[in-house]
Amino acid sequence: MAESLDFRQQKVRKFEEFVDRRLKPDLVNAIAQRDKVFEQQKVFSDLKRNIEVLEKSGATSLRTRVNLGSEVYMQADVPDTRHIFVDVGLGFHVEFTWSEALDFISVREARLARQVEEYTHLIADIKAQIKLVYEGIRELLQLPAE
Amino acid sequence: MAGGEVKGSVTPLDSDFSPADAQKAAARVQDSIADKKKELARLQVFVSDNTNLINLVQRLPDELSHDIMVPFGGAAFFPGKLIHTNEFLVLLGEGYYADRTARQTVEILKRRGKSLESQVESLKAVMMDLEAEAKFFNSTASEAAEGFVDIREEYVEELNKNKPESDSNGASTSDNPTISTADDEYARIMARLDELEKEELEQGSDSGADEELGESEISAPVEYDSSSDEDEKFEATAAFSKYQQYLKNKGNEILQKNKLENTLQDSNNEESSRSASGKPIGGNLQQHVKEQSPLFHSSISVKDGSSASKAEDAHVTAQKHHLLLDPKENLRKASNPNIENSSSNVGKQTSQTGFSARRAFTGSIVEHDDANPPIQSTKSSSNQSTGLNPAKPVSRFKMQKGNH
Repeated sequence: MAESLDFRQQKVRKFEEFVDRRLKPDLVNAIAQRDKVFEQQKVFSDLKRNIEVLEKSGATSLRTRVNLGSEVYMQADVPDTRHIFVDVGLGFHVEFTWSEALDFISVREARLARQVEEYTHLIADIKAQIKLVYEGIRELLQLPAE
Repeated sequence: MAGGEVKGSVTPLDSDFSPADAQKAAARVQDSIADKKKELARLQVFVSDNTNLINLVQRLPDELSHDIMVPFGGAAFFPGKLIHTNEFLVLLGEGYYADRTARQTVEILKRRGKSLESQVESLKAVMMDLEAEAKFFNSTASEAAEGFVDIREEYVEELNKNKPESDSNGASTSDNPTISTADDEYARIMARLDELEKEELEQGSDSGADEELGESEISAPVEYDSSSDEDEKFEATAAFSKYQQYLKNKGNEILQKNKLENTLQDSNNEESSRSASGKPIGGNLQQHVKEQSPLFHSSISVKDGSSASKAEDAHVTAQKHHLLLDPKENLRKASNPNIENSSSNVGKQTSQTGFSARRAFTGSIVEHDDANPPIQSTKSSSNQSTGLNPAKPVSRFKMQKGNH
């Protein structure tokens, strides 16, 4: 009897360790990844809006301010706004016209939305696993269901 | 151990701090050191960014314009150029910006750099404190593991000024011949007092004594001034009443000493055979010390201020024990970087804190009854000696500053 109790204790500890050392860090990691994708989504939706504004106004030159770091800004002049260099990933920038850029952005946004979906599934999965293990622990300890 | 006198208590160090606990504490301190290191690295990145920016701002006005890629959102660029290269918009904080020239911007950035440097400095000081603490915990752990013992003793000022070495000898050893010298001394003082009393009676109220008993050596010859001075007379009588008080206490001491000697002897025997059970004996001894302490204090009240050099001497021994005395005190000292010195170089430490300790002792001494042992006097001395440590308040202050 005492032996089985001991065995059960060990089992419970093993399960708890699995949750704490494996599942929870995984969950934190997945959430961080998804947040990154959200950020990307926001960057591209901003870019899309800005290009649309430029298109609407039809301006070909632009005055803006550049952040030099530590919130120190300097004026910058863009003589020709019709060509824009957009980050396509892996450090590559491609020169687009406005319409090309908007096409690229819509493709990119769809991809990012899919990624968000994937990560959301992954997070739900990990959460379900954690619940499952807790349920197993509860059964081992023969506690009543909540 | 005939004629011996146990003055202190002996406790094995690992009963106060178990090695495992000390190691755990050390590990915790190491964790916080690692945290601080991360913060320090972060700050140093800020510092290097700032110096780079200063260089950039100084260089930019050299030309009228610079060809750059102008960022457009997070993911796009336009080819363009920087214009108005001597005009900067600098964040002052709270969303307020100011237009500045390059030179003014550099000044602002240098001030930012200075505040960063001070943050780095305070962080480094905190880390030094923590490292000293970790070192202390480690040494405590190893000492406890090696079976060091903690020796505690009440501070006793010997009355015989001519034999200062008996102080330092009799401090930690439990079997020393101080009792015989103390008795001699007692007899001498008694004789001297009798003499004084007689002379006082003879001279009546008209003549005063030309000496302050508190200041004189016991063995010095006495000179009486025929011309009386009111102040001197007052002092002499005051000193005399002090002596009387002392005599009363001393008489009690003699009685109690006999009593104590029996009990102490028992505990000595116990102590010599002490191998496994150190703690109960330690507590036992401490009780004896408590019983004895009023006498010690009364003896101090007589001798107070009489011999500075000797007081210093005795403080060395007293302080030596204070180092081991109070675990809390030790912990507090751990935050002081000097702590490494104190364990190895006791003499140096005491010379620093000796004055405060002496003052603490003299400050708290009043005539005590044997009924209520003045334990608080030792406490006050330990508080004061740590309170006067100069290194600690500085670093605490800096730590606070660093948090803001």
